[in-house]
Amino acid sequence: MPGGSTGLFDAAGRWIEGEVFEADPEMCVWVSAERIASSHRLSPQE
Amino acid sequence: MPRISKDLQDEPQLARSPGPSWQDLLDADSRPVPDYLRDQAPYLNGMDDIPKDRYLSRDWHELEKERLWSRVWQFACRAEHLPEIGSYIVYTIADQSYLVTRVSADEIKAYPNACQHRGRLLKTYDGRASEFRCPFHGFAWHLDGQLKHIPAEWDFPHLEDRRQDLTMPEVKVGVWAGFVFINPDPASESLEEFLGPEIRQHFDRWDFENRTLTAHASRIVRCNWKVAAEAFCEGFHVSATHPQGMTYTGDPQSQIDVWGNAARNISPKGIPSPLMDYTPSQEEMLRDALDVREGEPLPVPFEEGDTMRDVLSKAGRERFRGSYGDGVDALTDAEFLDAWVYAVFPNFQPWGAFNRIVYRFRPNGDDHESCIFEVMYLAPFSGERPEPAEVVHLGPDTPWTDAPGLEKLAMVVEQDSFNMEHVQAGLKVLRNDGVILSRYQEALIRWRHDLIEAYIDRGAPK
Repeated sequence: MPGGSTGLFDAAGRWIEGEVFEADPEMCVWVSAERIASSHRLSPQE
Repeated sequence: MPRISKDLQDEPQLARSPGPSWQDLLDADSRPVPDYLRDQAPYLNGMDDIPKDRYLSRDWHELEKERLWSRVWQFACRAEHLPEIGSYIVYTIADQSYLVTRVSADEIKAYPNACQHRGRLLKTYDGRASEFRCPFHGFAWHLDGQLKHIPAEWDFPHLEDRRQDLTMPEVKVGVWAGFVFINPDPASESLEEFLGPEIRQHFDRWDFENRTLTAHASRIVRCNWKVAAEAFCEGFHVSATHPQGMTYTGDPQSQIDVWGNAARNISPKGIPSPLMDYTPSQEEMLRDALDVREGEPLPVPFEEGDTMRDVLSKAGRERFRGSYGDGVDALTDAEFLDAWVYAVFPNFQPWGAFNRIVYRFRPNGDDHESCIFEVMYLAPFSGERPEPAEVVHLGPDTPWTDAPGLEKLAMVVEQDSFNMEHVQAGLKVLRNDGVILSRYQEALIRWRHDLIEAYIDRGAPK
């Protein structure tokens, strides 16, 4: 967060610990999802 | 039938989102955009709430079984799922099951999947057969539905004059753009009439017959099929459900068009959402669109002065040139960039242009509170037609990322799935009698409900 405060959340956005007590749950879903290799439909074919 | 007003003078002035419209982006496209693709057909049919019972009620599910699924055209499979004479698939919808089979090089038939002796399902999995033989006692039918064999026929003298009655009843079959549809209602209009001319003209441009399934995943979701379908009918949800997309998606600037039983929602890409409180750079938009994270290099060239729309439309043409040919040069930037979410009533969403995405939503058997949500990728190919991807079945708690081939879409659909069963649960808690829809952006949801209501109001089939 601006100012350096942090929070730790699970994949569904539940707070685990930290000064920051809430987070966007869908961003947590996104960030915690198994990262698929950057393969947007328009990315160059591998 | 619901009133569908295209004359906006009949309505209070239609409010639209600030910021450039999709039409503005088409004006700036590097290629000329055909008028028919630009068509605007807004759906305005009041602002009433949608009764929540339609998602929760067993009675409403029974009405849908009796009056909707028994008489509407519905997507069963791709033509390439039936490559040989005798290839068949088992298509299920609610408590009904149909065999869809290729009987000749250019004919597909479909039948209720039940032995006419004592009712056993003839097939319980897809495959290829030379006949349809019941595993219970051995009654058998030819692929064309004619009765082939009655075991111990001497014990069925009462069938001697009824052999014709034992021909497998047929349900209607229609094929459009490589998609095989069935309709159990013998009195229904043709598939062409049902689809109407607009969506057929649009898809003719993109040669969907010559596409192949490169991925197919199916997941049970703990919600009514309409809850799942409605998660993909509007760009309005992007700012909250897919916040990572806001830098490059003009979600409230989506254009919604309805033509009878077909509709579309087009969400423009390469413009930031006006809901953001800052304007991202073109490079930031591009990096977010490709999910390139801090410190990672861009996989496509980007130079000062480039725009995301320029860069990705060029990359898209090159990506598909090998499979689609040099015809990509005549296609518009919009066809490589924007989300062209088409919908065919009631439950089928084949995205247009080069989005590759196909969605289907069905009740999970006879359970009105769960559904089968399928995500498919349909892509152009060159050379010999590849085998279609096998379907991967996921349980309700299995992540989409476990299904191979969905690429980044798996991560996106996971975000949509994060809402669905909570909508179903929340509807039971909701004190209001219905759900509220926006006037313009959520029009496809209203369109679907209006058509379902029209089928229900027709009464039971005779």
